[in-house]
Amino acid sequence: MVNYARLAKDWRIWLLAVVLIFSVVGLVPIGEDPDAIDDDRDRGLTALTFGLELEGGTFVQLSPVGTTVDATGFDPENADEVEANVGEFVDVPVRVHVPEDLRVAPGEDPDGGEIEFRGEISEEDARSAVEEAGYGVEDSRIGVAQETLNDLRDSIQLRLDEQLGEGAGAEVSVRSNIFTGDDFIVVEVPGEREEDGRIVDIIRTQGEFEIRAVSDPETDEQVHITSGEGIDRGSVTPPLEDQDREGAFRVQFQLESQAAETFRDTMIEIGATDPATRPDHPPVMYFNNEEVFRGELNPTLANSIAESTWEGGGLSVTGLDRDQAQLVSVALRSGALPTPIEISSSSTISPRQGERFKTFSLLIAFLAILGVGAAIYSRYRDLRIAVPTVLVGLAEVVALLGFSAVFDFTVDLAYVAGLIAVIGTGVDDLIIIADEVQERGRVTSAEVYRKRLKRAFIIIGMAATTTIGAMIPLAYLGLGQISGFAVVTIIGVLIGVLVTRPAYGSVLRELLTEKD
Amino acid sequence: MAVWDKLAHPSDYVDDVDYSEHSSKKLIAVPLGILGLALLVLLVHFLLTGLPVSLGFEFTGGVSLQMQTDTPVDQIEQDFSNIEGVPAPDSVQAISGGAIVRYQPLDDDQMGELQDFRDDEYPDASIEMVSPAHGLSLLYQSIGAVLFAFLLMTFVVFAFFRTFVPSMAIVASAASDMIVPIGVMTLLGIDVTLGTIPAILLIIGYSIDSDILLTRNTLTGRRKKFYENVRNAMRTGVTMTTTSMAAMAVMAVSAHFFAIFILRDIGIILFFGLGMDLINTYMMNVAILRWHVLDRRGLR
Repeated sequence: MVNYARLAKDWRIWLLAVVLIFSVVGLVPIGEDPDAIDDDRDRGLTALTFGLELEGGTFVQLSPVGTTVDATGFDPENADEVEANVGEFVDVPVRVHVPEDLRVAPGEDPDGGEIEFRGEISEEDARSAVEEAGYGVEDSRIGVAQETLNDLRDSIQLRLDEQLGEGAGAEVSVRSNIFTGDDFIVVEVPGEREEDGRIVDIIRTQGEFEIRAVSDPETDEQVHITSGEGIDRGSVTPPLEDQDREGAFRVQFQLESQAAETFRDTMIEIGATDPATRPDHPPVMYFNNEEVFRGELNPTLANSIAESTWEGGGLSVTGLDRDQAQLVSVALRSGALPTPIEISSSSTISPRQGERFKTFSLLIAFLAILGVGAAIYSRYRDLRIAVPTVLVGLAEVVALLGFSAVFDFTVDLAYVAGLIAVIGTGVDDLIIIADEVQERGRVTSAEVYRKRLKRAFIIIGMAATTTIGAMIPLAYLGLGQISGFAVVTIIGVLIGVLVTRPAYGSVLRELLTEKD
Repeated sequence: MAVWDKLAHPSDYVDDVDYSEHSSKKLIAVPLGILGLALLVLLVHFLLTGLPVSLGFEFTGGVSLQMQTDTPVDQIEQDFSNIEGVPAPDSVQAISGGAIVRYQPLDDDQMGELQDFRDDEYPDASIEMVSPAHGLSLLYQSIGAVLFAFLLMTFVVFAFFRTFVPSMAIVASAASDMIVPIGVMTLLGIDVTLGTIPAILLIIGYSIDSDILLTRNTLTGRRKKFYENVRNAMRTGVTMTTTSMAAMAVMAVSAHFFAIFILRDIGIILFFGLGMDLINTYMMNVAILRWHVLDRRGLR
């Protein structure tokens, strides 16, 4: 005898209903900012975000090649000197970094920093080079400094945006594997284009840099000064923040002697050193034929060029914000990557293949639920149990998908595997509930029912805790697919234990209790 | 409905099992024997190849292309064997509605040539590359992840039951549930891939349910009713496990025909893992629990 009135007052049923409504609303692709989605990308039937495996696209994982030694025995201010000293003992470029946590309070003497070797060199050789140069070695590791990683990320992003167009939606990010401590860079390019096979090549290929100067302000006619060949690439600094002006950045670099001569002569010739006409003849920088910077000569510099006291070719681009400075810094190196790179893995999935995977993996999940339904019916021969079981199983899937849409999880094949895991353990728990309340004889009162349901939930709680306990560390590891799988399993199990299984218990009570 | 009603469900046979007739030795011998066979398979494979299992290209490094196409496999093999600047493929394998082409690790130039060839001739093919160093690192991380999850499971189980013998029985059963399907895969010639790792982890989640049910029922129930408690837990547990096995069988078979091998492999591993769990739980664990609850108190 089903008591609908009591069912309608049950908080478990309400909770399930609310969760389901939110899930369905979350799954509908409305309320999204249409500008946030590229025009050429299909918005699809749901608000779910599919991974490259199911959507199609290219994925590249790469690591910088380098070794870093934590060293002591020098003042970080003298970085140039340290770089030169250590550089004598190795064949690869050397850089000194002072990470935030090594910076000391004012008054204390700063000591040491990270000495980074940009290229293939063993930890042993790196350490002995530092020691031979007369500095102390505290620690060493394979890998490069955080700053260099960010620089690498920006350089690669710039190359891809240049070659594929910014609309291609290429995403470059620095990731870290908590398990091994290794840092790496992930490149993701959704969709498909003819140059897909070239993405790795694009990442590896340098761009073209040029400095010109405006000779005729009326027509914006410009004269060529130097290409990337004329820049001493090793001298280009990352963005440096001005000490007296926060948020103002500069980039310093050195011209090769030939280019420095041309620069000086051109500046004088076009009148950029004459205070009256100086503002009309700014030098302009181009990267892959696009202007990245234009700015008049600094009066002091103009003066020293005019008076022939400027020597060496050291230049500084000032008054930039951080992004501009980064762009100029990358462009000055002709987009050369700061360190050599090693491609760890790459994959390209065609959108048609992805579509096939998407359709069929959902079909497979659906078939698996049908299989579960058939198995349940053949056991109980009772539609009052089989139908709610399959429906609750489906409700768990909808709730999990809705949750994933709202929190923007990426749906890939590992996700589908996790989904199947959730369906499977979910049904196991429903069977425990059904058996506990029914198999121990007829349910004669609500009190008997409550006791039995409690027994069932103790066992379910234990099993769920064990599964979640085993999955939590995996969710935190940077194992990519396996982390995604673990997260989905944990959330699915939580939704099941807290929302759908209590509601199932209430529904069965109404269906199975003989008296009130 | 008539046919349905005549079909017996596996759990219907639970009443026919009379544990009091079977000695503990006999009950434990069967699961241990199967585990021994699985270990033997792994040992033989180790002696033959130097590795206990055959590893997929994600772990060894290499290149794999998968394509759905009407082009006959012979043609595909010929096409991919004659790319300038690229060595001949390691293997070309026909799958339902297409093929998988595998290469040994390629250097950057060779990879570039292969990519160009794919863009021109087989733009629908998916192509995946893993460097040997990265593959090895993935392998170590995966082994670490499985061991880590296993240790945590052990910890949680011991924290729940706080008695050594029954907790140990659950942990031993889970270990055996994980090893046997790997033996089966090796016997079937299926590579252990990155997609296999979640499946091996899933066994923890699945196999623990019925073990916990059995252990809790027999430890908290009345001692005199030991066999009845086992029977109740078994009826539920067998239903749970066989239901999951049915779902996994459906998944493995359908994923094989749709050529989504990660899901097929997960299905195969779980199917055999759950099958092994039935044997472990209702032979080994029942025998161990009977000793723990009855024998050592001289109650049987």
